[in-house]
Amino acid sequence: MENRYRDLQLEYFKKNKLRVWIALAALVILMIVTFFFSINLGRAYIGAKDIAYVIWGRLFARKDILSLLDETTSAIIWDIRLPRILCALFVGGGLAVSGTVFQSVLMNPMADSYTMGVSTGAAFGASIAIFLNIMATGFAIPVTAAAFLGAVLTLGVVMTLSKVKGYLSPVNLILSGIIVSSILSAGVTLMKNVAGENVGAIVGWMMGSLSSSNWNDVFLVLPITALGTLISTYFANSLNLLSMGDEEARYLGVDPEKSRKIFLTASSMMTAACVSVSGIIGFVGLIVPHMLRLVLGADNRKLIPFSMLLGGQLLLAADTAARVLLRTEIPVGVITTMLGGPFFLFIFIRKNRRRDV
Amino acid sequence: MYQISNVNFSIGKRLILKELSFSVSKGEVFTIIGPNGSGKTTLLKLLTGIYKPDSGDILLDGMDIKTMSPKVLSRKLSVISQNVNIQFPFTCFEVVMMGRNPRVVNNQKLSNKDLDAVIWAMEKTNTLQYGERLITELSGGEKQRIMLARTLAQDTPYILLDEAFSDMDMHYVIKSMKLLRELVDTKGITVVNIVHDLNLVYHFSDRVLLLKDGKIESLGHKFEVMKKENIERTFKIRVESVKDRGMLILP
Repeated sequence: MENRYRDLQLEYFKKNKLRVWIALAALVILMIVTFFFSINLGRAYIGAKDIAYVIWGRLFARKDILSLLDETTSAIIWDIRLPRILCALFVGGGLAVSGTVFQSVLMNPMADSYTMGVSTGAAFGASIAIFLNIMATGFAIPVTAAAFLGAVLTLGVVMTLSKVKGYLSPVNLILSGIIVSSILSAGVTLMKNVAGENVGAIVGWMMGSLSSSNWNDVFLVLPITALGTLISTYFANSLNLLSMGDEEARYLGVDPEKSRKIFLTASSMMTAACVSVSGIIGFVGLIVPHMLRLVLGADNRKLIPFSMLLGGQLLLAADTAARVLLRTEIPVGVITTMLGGPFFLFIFIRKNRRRDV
Repeated sequence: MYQISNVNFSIGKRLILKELSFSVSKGEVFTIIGPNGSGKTTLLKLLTGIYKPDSGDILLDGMDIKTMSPKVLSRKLSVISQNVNIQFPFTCFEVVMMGRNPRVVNNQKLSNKDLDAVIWAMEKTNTLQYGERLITELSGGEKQRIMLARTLAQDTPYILLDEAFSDMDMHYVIKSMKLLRELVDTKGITVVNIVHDLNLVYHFSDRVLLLKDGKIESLGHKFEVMKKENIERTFKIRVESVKDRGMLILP
């Protein structure tokens, strides 16, 4: 009898492990390929050797290696393409991870990184900053910082609103997110209206693009998303239990209030950082968790790290496409939404079909 | 052992439970019955520590339940609630494994001992064949069997059930009840159970608490409580006692 137990366990876990390793290998290979392609492609073609030289030379401060290249190539790689690629990877990953976490915390598979109004808060902050920058000459408010501040403040308001007797309920969080978000979006519309001819700057920011990414953006988004992902992965087991509701979580030894606060803070900060760097990029936070659940199941211990990988991968591919597909650059938010929408429809239909059988 | 003394509890302005005092002893099946809205589920939630009484005390093995952390509590008692809503496609294995979470310290992996407990629980509930299927794709009765397996895997001295077998077919209801009875008799665990089927109450309980409008209508050995006049008065139905066989409900 003991032996049969062992066999059963082994069979189940072996199958699972194999699946995880295959998925991991596929993603890593894809990521390396996309990474090189995206440095490679663009208005200036850059060879693999140049890329290696620049990265090697800069990282280890080797002037002798850098001097082998001409200045423009070096600048294109290091100052333009590399920060943009890193931003794409970490913004995509951050949005996907926070989407996964939000879906579980809010117990709603339709939730995404923006459900609680973080994106509208960021848009509001950014549009005020853009508006003031247009009106007042002489000093410039950094748009990214304003967006980040807007996102964090909105989050604070939403969380305070949804508290009943010190208790945060998932339904309240979604509802107050919608309320605050719609008020703020009226504010954004007002800003657009007053901005008059300069409305393009606000609209452009909101469409979501990585074209102006620089190293400062990388230094904002990288540490926050990396830390957020690590924290969420470490506590992922509690997140599994939390996704079944407060009572179940408590019956199985998890303090729902405490762990919800951890997850909400981590994933909201990630969303805020991502949005303030890139503007509003839709569908990544909604689709990535659904794609991964089809392959890996619902266990957040696997989902969260894989969301980081797949989200980054997808946004990098989309951003590269946005750069090279047409003569003029398309905002990457448009591409993710245009591809993400139909894909989501496909998952939706597939799921409904399966349920009928 | 549970000691409940002078417990009052209200939701909003409505007083749900009034001055309840009773105790549940170790190693018995204690069943709570009563009409809809009599406060059964509320009472069970007080016993699990989800609700805190407005006044009065609930002691579990001499400890005030208010002072126990979720982790400590989850090693003492396991609960199957009335309707569990699982939104995400966990496999049944994963769901039953969650029952071992109370014993896992700091995100450690499950040990072989934990996995043995999981498989034992699934074998007992005849759910091993569901292992790799998704919980979201099971029927109501199958889901309840998985929840029972999770509770068995949790391996606690107290098990609290809120109509936990309501969607199972009769075969599995009786099998599950017998299984619990066996655990009570061999391992000395304690079961607190909310059931609607009066025959089940008659056959599988030790003591019964009959609740009406948040007050104790009758409490004692099942033969004392499950009397024709008690049941007819409280539930407003007509029944006939069948000697040693339980109760026949007349429509």
